[in-house]
Amino acid sequence: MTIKKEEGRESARIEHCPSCNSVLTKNNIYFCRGETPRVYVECAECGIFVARYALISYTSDKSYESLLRKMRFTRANSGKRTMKMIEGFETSVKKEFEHVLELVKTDEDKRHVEDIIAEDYSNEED
Amino acid sequence: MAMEILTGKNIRTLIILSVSLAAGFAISRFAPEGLSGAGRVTLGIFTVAALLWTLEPFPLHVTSFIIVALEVVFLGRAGGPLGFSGNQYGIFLEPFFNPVVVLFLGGFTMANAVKRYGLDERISRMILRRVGSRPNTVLLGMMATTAFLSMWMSNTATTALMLAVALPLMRPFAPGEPFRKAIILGIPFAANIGGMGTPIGTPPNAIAMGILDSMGISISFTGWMIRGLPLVIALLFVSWFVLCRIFPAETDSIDVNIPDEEESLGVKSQFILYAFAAVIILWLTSSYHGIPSSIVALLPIILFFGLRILDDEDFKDLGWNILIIIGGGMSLGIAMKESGLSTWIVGLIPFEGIGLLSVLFIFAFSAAALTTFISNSATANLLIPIAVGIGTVQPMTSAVVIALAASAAMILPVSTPPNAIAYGSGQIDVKDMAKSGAIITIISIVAVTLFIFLLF
Ligand SMILES: [Zn+2]
Repeated sequence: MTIKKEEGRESARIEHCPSCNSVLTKNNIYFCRGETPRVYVECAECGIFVARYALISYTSDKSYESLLRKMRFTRANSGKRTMKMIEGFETSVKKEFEHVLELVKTDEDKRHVEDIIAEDYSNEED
Repeated sequence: MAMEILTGKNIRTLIILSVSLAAGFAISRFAPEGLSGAGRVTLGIFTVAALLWTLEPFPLHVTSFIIVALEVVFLGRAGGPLGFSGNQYGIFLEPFFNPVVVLFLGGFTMANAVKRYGLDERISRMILRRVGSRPNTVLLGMMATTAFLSMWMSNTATTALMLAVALPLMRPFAPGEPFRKAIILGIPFAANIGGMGTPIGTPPNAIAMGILDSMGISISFTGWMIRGLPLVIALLFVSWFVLCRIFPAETDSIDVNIPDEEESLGVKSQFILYAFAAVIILWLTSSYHGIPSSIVALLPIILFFGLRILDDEDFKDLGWNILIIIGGGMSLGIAMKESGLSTWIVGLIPFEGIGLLSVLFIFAFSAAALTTFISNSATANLLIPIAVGIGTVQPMTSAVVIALAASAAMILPVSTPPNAIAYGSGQIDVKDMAKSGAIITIISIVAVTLFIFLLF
């Protein structure tokens, strides 16, 4: 299974500290019942705030266990579809990880993350 | 724009859809003599539904919408073959929010509240702390817990939860150790079986109730449980026994180390459990108070969403796709009855000279065979409308037998989502599942048919 995306649709970038430009970061995950968990990214070098993400789905290196967690909240009806999803799950996570590492090495998107996200939305609307 | 929609996958979808529609058209065109105009059209729609639910070019609920559209355009429009006028076509839409669908919606709401507050996990741990350490007892405990939860929650969610609880306990066992396989197979099998126990246990039950309902035959919550629960208990023991024999444990004791709960139950969690208990009591006593079970099902919906125990996200998450699949099956059933198609199909099968029991066996066997390859709901959607047309068998008997047999899908990983999830663990082979599952499926069909036939 190779990852093939349309030309110009994908890009990747590494997050940098706005102050010291370090790429070393720490992820602090905040949980509050009834709210979407949020990740507060902290610079591992100088300790300042880098970014905040909302966490809607989580996959750890134990991907089967992550999958079980995910399946607890889905109402599947088709065995065929569930099989396809499971088959794709583990390999796609690992493949995409390698793909992203390759992408940031060879062709990193230099824009700000918010600009990349904003562009994505404006494309959807036309 | 066009390029984005016409991807490889969607081209395949369009081809399957076109071929299905063409097949439906051809069959309605060249149907044998003796079938009315409306019957021919319905036969065509039935063919389209059967192909789409089997080949699954898109999610199953999309097929439900296609069925309704075809029904109204080709059958129920004013002046169409059914001779309807005005908005009589509404009978094809009514199944989508009929009492059974509302009952399910209530069930989904309760299941979501239980999951959201982690109560399902607490219940499972509470039971498993008490099962001792003998491998066979642990297996029985796991299976009983799974079956109990899946009577109220979806089979898929229950399997995912129980495997997540069970796998850490399996770490001391080598990969390939038979007991490990017994646990990993026992959980999905018990989830499939548990679904038989209550009307809200699994969609085929709702489809049976809904189709019977449209014929003026009602079956109460208690009525269903009297039929389903003894079978759940019996089949659970049978499956446990089969798994113990095929995959005997190689040790005498295992360490079920589940620590006691640290946190005590929060106020909201307690409220959910009390409300759950109250709703079940009201369901079981509806013959005394006269409030229909579907209206009782509104109680958790109003309480949990009204008191912000669940939020908008949970509401979106209520399994609307499943409700649409159920509605589509019932809508197809109505078309088959209105057009006389079910009577016609039944007339083709030479039932004379075959005993009632054999007829039921044929239907139960067909249901089990179909459900091995296609979804349980699609199986019920396609078979029940035909079966209730047989004059010689009580519709109640045939519908219940098919619905229960549709849950006997233990043979292949693709048979049901629970099987697929267990297979996804990578710790069992298709052969392991097929061998034990085939025995359990055959025993299930025989048990379901005999029990329902002899006792009801
Ligand atoms: Zn920094």
